[in-house]
Amino acid sequence: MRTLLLVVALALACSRLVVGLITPEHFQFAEVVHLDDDGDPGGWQAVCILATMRNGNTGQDMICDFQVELPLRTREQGIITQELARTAAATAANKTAYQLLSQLEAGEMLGMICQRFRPMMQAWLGTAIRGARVMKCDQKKGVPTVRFDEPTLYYP
Amino acid sequence: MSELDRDGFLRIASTFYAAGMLEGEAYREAPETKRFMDAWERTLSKHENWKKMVKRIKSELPPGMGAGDTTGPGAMAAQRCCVYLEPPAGPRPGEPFPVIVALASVLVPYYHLYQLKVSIGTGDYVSGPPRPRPREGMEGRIADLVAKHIEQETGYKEFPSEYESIVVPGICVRNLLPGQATLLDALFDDARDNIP
Repeated sequence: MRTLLLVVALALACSRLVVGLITPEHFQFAEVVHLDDDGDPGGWQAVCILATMRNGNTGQDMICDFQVELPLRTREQGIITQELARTAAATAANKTAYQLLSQLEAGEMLGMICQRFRPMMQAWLGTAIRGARVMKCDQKKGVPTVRFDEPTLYYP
Repeated sequence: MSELDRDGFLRIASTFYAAGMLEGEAYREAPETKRFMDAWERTLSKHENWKKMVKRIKSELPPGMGAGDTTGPGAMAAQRCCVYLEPPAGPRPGEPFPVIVALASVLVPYYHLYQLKVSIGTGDYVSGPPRPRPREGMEGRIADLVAKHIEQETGYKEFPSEYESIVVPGICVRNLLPGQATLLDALFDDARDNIP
């Protein structure tokens, strides 16, 4: 599965370098709403990620939190396996980080990145798993928080 | 609770969402966020009743149709049920069929029904924006069935359509920026075209 993520492992675009990957193993989803055993869409799972992004020029770090929320079964795809959930989430997160950070202008407010990150990742993830949501971490009971401490480096 | 008016809905929405674009601990520790999460905790403690209601709805549907509890706690502001009005022979790839979506708010004693069209096996799952609750034909009858069960189970009333698009000033609702969220976004769901 890791090979799928290498798409964005090292990218050079618009003269801005973005390095670093979050992996499927970071997305340790926990069940929030039980899935009924009747074949219909439903159930819910979530994980909160605290991701470090570092400006490679200044060394300035920013922690961007995002909570990935997915159904356990969809009408189109049936059961969402843990493998699919984790791989799709990691792919969407890496695509989004690359897209945002590779276009970041020098001096642009880092805080804005998180707010742009979540809806963009939700759109990417929604193409792989219908009904996906990405939002701020909210300390929902039972939802694990996972740190992604190997920072995604970017050079604006 | 007596019937709410425009100002009442706006006041309640502002109680559960912080003003401005808070991040991290500032967001999680805001009194509004804590109230929102507490509302969900209370709702989840009796969520089995919602699941049983969805099963009752399903038992009254014509053959081939399905209904699921698609609630995403915290990702929206309502318990959710989707009823898939598939043709008896099953959906054909690319041929849209209706889905009736029901939202029962965890913030106010009101529910909202709407309709989407989805297609299986194509790139675009949901086609077109959410449409108002159907009142006629098979879709209308299914919507009436769902409304009847929600009213019996919760005692909620249907959210007045004239309030749906009123913007709640200042607050930040999930991924929406301040000034973007309507009462429907804040009290029910801000991504109504996004279903499983």
